[in-house]
Amino acid sequence: MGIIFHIDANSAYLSWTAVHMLECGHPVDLREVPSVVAGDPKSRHGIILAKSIPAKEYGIKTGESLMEARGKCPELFVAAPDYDLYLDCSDAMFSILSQFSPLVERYSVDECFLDYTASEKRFGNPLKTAHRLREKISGELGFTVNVGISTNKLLAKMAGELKKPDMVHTLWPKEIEKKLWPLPVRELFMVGGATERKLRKLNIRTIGDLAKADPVVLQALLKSHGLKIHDYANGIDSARVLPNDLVLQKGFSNCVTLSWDITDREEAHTALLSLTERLAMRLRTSGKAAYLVSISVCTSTFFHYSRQEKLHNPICTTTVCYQHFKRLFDKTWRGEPVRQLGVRVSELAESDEYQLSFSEAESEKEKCLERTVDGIRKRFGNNAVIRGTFANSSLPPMQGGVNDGNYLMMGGYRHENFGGTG
Amino acid sequence: MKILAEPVDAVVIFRKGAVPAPYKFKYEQNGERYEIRIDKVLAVEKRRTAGIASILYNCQSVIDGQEKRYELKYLLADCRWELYKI
Repeated sequence: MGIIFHIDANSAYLSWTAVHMLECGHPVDLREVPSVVAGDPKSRHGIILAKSIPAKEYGIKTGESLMEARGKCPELFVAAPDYDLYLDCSDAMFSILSQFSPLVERYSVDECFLDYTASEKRFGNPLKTAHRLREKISGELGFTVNVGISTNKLLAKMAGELKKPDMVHTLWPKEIEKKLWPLPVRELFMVGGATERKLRKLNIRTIGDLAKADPVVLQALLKSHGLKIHDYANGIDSARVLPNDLVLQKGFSNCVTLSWDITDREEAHTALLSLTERLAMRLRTSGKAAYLVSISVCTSTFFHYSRQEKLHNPICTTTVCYQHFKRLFDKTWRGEPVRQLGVRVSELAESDEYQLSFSEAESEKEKCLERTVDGIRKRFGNNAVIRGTFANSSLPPMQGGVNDGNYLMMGGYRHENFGGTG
Repeated sequence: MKILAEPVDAVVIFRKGAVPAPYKFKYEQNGERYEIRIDKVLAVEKRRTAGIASILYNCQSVIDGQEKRYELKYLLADCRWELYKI
């Protein structure tokens, strides 16, 4: 049986900001006062990205608006996010973990899975190593982590969530009944608000209830997801710890909350194009082409809708992707002010291996042109070549993503950004 | 000592096979400019706090006729020197 560690930085963005500010001579540790990391409210990005434990006691939640949070706690300290710093912290944490096992999966910017199975011979008792790891990270990097230990990824993750901060927990299969089952069902990985509501109808309130429920009934209610969460509640998960280059990307998406509500169709199209520029560039960099395109719209009254369409030929050029997004948007949009726009492509295929068609969507010439533009942007910065539409526009030529898109939440790779600001 | 984290101009000696050694630095306080030669480096520590690689030097010099302890910091990614604590 394997031994898997799950390492999770405690209130990552906030503690990373706090450590950095202390290092720069800030007199107060943000982790000890009511504080949050939030975007700039002027550009309408003022939502809470992370909160300190004292802020949590005021009832402040991640994802709510800064205004609501200030209402709950007027003396709240607000820090701006610094994504370069977060990536440095994440890289440093990953490099410490790599000293303990060759198999570390970067699950997100602040979470990693570590396969300890083969390292046990070298480092000994997993519990002792986990404490060593925790102390090493807090000593060297200045922030605390939770370590969960078990036999598979799911149980390790659930163990890591048990009690925070700066703790090590085990959740071996024999401990499931005692440690996992009394928790509310919402705490289980892959159970969100919607699933919780459905499960409540079956009188399933704890993870234990779910584990003992009839899988046939769960399947009838939630389809295959029902069977999955039933397995999870029983601590069954066969997923392996994979190094990030082997994790398969299933789709690409890009989304932006606009600084002002868009009411004009042409302006909305321009915003779609600026989102597509970044999306299609990422798609091409990965060497893939997509069969499925979709858009999502959020109106000024926070009403969400989305549309998707399956294509006959896979696409990867900005121009063709944009044409599809534009068409979908025109089909769906009913003229209401738009607050947020999102584009997504999925059902990926290798861009050079697909069925040829008489009605080819993209010409070789177009692909070649876009490859050249990608090359120029990679070398001289994203703003080295921009479309004429953006020359006198108040919209940036590329939108979406954090840190100007030069940042990947889910491990992966880092783009080099020369000279350009975009 | 208080944390200042003030960027400074520095003259540094790079010796083969050793960490860079600060020789002297300039800084301004209350409108007065100081140029300080490092008399002694008492301790050197490599740090990675908040994932930022740096080298911290615990130094000693005579400033205004008084022997003083202070810390200089070299930020590796930025190639920048700071008067960290004094």
